[in-house]
Amino acid sequence: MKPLFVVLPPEIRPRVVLAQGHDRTADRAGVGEPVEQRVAVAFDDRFLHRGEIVEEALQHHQHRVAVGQGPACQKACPTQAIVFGTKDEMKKWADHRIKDLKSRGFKNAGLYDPPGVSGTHVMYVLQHADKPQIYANLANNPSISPVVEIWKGVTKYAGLAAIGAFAAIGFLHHAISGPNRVSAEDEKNAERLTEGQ
Amino acid sequence: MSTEVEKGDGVHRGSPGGPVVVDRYTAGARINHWITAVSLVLLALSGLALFSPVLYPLSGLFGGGSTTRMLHPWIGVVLFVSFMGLFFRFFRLNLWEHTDSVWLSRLRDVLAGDENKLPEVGKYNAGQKMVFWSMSLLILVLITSGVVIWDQYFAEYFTIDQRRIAVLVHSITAIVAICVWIVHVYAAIWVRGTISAMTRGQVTGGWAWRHHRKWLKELVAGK
Repeated sequence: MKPLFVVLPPEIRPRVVLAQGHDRTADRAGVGEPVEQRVAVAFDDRFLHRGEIVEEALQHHQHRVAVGQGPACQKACPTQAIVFGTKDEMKKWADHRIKDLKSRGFKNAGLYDPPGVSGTHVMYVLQHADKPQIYANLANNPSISPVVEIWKGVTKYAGLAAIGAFAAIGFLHHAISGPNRVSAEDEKNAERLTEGQ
Repeated sequence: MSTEVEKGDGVHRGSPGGPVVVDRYTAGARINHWITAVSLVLLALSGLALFSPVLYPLSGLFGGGSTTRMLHPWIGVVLFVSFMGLFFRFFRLNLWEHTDSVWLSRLRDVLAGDENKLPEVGKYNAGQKMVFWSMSLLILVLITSGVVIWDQYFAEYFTIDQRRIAVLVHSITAIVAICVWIVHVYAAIWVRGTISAMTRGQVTGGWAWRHHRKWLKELVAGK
């Protein structure tokens, strides 16, 4: 199955800029990468940065957005199935499309914007929103792994705090105890020791 | 039979009638140390850039996000190989002894700088030994977990769950390593006269007498 529409809010850094079926168009626009790879980046690998693939697409995307152009995939899409705008605008746009789909008999039409990951940067209007897996294996109710939550949550804050604390203790200790200096007597003792032999 | 002295250690007069000078690190050991030190600092900076969005601007030092991600593991390989060199140079005199436990149990005197109340110390004190062994262990964990999350070459060998655990282990270990590094650098600054050991390879006789008397005595005895 192919999603009917891909909607891209601009205030975000898109991790997925394409949907199934748009890869050829994207190739023409010069941002082509196999679609599955991008979907994998978004869901399976949400916080494990995948290096250049995402980075390049992202930079390309941001350079265009920065000069007021929509993403290349949107521009190149012959059926105008890719829409680009703020999240709110895109949700409104999607509502409109969903109503249309429902009126045509797609009872389960809906927007793919899973709450388990606080929504996605790229949303899809699906004819069968109850079965997202039929669209290039979109994750059904994706959620962020607790391991990732620990990594990006408590580890980050506790870690930076620990580094800060160690540095602060160093400064404090130095301020209180002062430097540990070698005395003239120490030097004399060393001389006596070496002389004694 | 000296147990605390290493090849290259020596005690002599800087100039006839001048102060006592003690050779502590050979040129090889110093070069090895500084390669490790530079890589560790670069790893900490690039690693922190990848660790927290707050510190992401640090990636500018390495030419942006992609290059930071690309360079970090390679610097890690340099550090690992370089640290192996340090490990085999230094491990013998870092083996734990009973007096180290005594020294450590009197941490209050250590921190107050009252070294006369402590057992005489060989080439390394218990604090230095702890830095040595914890760094050895941490670097081993870092290189292992680092390989698991080195997606460029090893992505296909590990599952996403394994990589998630590895990245968590890698960051916690790195935080601990940075804290140990702070202790190491702070000690070198606090104990004046230490840094010349790693710059010129030498310390003064008084420094050796004050902080590593057992080492100095064995050096003099074996001269």
